[in-house]
Amino acid sequence: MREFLRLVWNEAEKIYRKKRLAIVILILLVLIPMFVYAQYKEVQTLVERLGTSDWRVALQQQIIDTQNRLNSSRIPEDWRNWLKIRMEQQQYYLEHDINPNAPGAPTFVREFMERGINLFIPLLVMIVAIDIVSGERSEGTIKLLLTRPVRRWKILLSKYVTMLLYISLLILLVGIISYLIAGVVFGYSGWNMPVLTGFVVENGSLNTEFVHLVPQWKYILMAFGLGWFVSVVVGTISFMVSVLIRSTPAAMGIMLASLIAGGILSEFATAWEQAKYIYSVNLDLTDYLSGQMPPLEGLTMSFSLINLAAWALASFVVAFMVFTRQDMLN
Amino acid sequence: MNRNRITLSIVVILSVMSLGLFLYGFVIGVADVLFPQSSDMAKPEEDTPPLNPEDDKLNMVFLGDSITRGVGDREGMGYVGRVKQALEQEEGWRLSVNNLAVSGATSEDLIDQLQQDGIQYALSRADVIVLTIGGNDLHPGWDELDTIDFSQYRGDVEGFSENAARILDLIRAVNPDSPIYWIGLYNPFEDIPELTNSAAIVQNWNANLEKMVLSHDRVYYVPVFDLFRGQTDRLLYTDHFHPSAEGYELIATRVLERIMIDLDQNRREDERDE
Repeated sequence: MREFLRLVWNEAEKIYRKKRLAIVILILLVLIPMFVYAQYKEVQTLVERLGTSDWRVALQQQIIDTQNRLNSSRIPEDWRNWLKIRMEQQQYYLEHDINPNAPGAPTFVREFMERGINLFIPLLVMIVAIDIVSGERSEGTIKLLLTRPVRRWKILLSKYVTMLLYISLLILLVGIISYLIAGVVFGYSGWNMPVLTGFVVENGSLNTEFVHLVPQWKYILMAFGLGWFVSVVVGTISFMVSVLIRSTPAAMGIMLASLIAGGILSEFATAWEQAKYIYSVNLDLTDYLSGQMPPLEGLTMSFSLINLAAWALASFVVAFMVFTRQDMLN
Repeated sequence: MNRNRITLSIVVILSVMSLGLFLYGFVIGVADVLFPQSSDMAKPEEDTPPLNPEDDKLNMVFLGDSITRGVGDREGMGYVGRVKQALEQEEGWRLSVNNLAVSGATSEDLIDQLQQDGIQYALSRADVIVLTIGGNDLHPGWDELDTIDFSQYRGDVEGFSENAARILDLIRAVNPDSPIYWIGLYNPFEDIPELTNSAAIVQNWNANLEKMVLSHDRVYYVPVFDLFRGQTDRLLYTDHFHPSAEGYELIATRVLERIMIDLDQNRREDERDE
């Protein structure tokens, strides 16, 4: 055990030396102010259009605008359903006198996770995870590692555990940095604000039987927990790719393509139900929490969880089989 | 070297702690979605921010159908946008404008809408209420046009009167004082030779509405029938049903004239009070 912990420490030091976290922090520091500003602009425009900052009026106006869009015959069927569900949900918020987008840094943090979970956060994860093995092969340092009297699977496992630790830290950094930056504009309060969850989408309509209130801090904790799980899955798949492919740029390309494919498929392939077996279509776990309509038929929380877990497990097994049996030195 | 070691220790400890935290978040998140508890919706204690009634602004609420929505005009500006522009730029008012019209709405739809909390909330804070409704009640629908005998057709005038009275009651229940401006119908069909009777049908409809409106306090009928008579080729959009930009311009002018009478009077009264 001591030996294993030393291995993990050693790996953690390597990633720390590579300044990967610094890069991630830098990206967050550059991009989050832009997101905050965009959000701020959106609110300002709405206030200007309505001449009021009263959220009830703004929300009611959004509902009416959606109704008018639904009445025009030109929008496609699944987009119509999505709008309808969202509108019914807004109606529910209004009836219970709860502001779904009360300004405040916690609200921004929540929305940032909800929007970033399917692409932005996985990309950050990839930065940390993608060259964890392939980097050592291309630099030749893997020889030093494998000539030690330690079993190969232990070496790989120490790398994997280190990756899990850094992914967790990364999610924490996303939360802290977005909170600190958003607070400058929106203020730092709002942790106890009520948020509705438990909307169930069934056959294209909204079931509100199980809707309940949670304080926002708890909702954020749940959303970040789901985001963390998604990151672990994406990290594990990147980990496998890193074992299989020597060249880091090629490994990165593969991960990028598969992640973006998920986004494209959920936009275009709404008629092709089997697309739901691709991992990157299942990344929007927070949508189940907020009660949005899933992009494809047959996507549910349990399906997505099982699907993602299966992908992660398979990647994990492949990575270990390949690493322990194949020649890694060349 | 030593400093690096300390930072790395902090990094690792933080990592382990966040791993535990997010694992917990993941478990309760999954549990919340997979085993939802229906709750009594008791609200957690959180002081709601005070309402700002924005007294310095004139709150305008628009209700009704596609005419109020602005269908047929470029960018959907409609008469609402023009009234807003004129009041802000020429009369110097500070406005809050809420357009709650839904295109295709009938008087029944409006009654349903008026029972929603959000709509009632918006109406309760309104200083001025403007609405158009009834066009979709009277218009029989394109499918039925062939089967209707237009020498006899009157539309469901009685049913509409009842609905109109109900609409006013619903508005007055949440807003007892503010003036309500009810815009009448124009005749979009006068250029169709087979529908020679259409003008009489619309006039009858309007007369009935006006009569109903007269029996209510601070509710004003705004006629637009005369504006469009003989001008529909110019004042209608290419769908031969909704107003064109020019048509909306005329409606806006007419509505504005009527609103200004009351606003000016209020201003004079305020000055006298001071």
